[in-house]
Amino acid sequence: MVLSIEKGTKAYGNQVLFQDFSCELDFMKHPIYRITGDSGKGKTSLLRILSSLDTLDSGTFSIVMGEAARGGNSLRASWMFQENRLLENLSALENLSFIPSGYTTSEIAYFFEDLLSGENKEKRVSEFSGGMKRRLAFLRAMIADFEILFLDEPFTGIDEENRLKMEYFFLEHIGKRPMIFASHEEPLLWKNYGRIEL
Amino acid sequence: MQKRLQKLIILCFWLLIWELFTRLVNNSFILVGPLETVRHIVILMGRASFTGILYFSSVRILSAYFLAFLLALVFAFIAYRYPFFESLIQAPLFLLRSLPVASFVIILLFFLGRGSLSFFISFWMSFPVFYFNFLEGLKTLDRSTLEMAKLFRFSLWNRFRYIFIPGIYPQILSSAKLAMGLSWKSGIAAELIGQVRQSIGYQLMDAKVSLEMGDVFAWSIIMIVLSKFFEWFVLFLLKKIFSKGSV
Repeated sequence: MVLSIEKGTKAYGNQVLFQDFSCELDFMKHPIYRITGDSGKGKTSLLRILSSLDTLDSGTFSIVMGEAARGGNSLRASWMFQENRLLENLSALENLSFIPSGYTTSEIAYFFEDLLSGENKEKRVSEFSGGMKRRLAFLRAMIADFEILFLDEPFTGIDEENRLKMEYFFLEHIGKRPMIFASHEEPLLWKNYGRIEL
Repeated sequence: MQKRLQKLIILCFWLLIWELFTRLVNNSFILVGPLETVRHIVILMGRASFTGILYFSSVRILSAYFLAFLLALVFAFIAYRYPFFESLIQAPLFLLRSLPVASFVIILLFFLGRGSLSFFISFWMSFPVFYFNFLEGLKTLDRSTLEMAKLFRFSLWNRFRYIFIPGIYPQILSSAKLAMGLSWKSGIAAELIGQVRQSIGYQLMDAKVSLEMGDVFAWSIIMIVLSKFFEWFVLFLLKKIFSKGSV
């Protein structure tokens, strides 16, 4: 599968994020792609465009599937948003249970133990610390039934031990599905990723 | 505790002013004091017809209130999803909202007769309050949460229960409060203007015609107490049902 942008331009009001920007993400070459660039360059916008949550102001975005032409032009995506977007007044478990997932409830409980060990999954998310919310948002993105995964600054506020856990968990469960992430920090375990410089 | 004490003192202060003013006027045809009003309430409560009258008015006003709440919720959702629908019903709703209760009652009297008059008046008075509040709440829902729900393919029920309802929760509470007072006031006024027998409004008019100012005050106080009680009860219920949710 190849995602590509040709001469793409995106602006918000007067602020131009990128102009005549072209890139190609060939997941046969790299199963993982990382988007880098200074803050305010539009990393999140680029991720959103690549997952069809947003559109380019001008230029073209295309998805080419390996074997066959695909009906419709968007893939079933899962996201870890920069701002978590959890349902704060619900428990951690409830936040996970609304997501269409291929995993059983007991598997999800097991994953929770793995990534947020010792935490109470019946507790309201609003009582969680920033790092715990981040890991919960990561877990939610991982258990969803997706064809492509987007992680926007997944390691914000996460210490090294938990970063390792997350990255390891990812490698264990991603299978052959593609993933794109934007991050300031260098990943510890993810290697050989493709790089898109904004 | 201190706040309650303060409230009590303020209440006593105004009751005292009322009583003093009454003594100053010294004419029971014009102004009746608080103690006299309480006496009248007790007498009214002793009458055989009392509970029947309360029941008659309450059932109509409250069922109109609840129906308006539910229908406004449905209409607000449709209007939120389909802007054309919003524009379509905007004009009649604005008209309803600005129409004086009196002219509305007279118009409805022709079509409906007396029996269900207060029901329809209360309904039409509270419906726009609910509808416009709910719609405004829906329009200010957090877009990023909605996008998340769409991305993770939340069921309609889960969206409704955990995003829409908690999102408009403040509007639900404020409009529930506002509409309750309005329902009672307009419902009673309709009963009075339409001369609906066995109703609180009719009792008010009857008392006025026979110069029983004590009864007028008594019925007014009873109406306020009922309205406040149901307001408290509905808010209690809403907080129980809807407090759990998102963002």
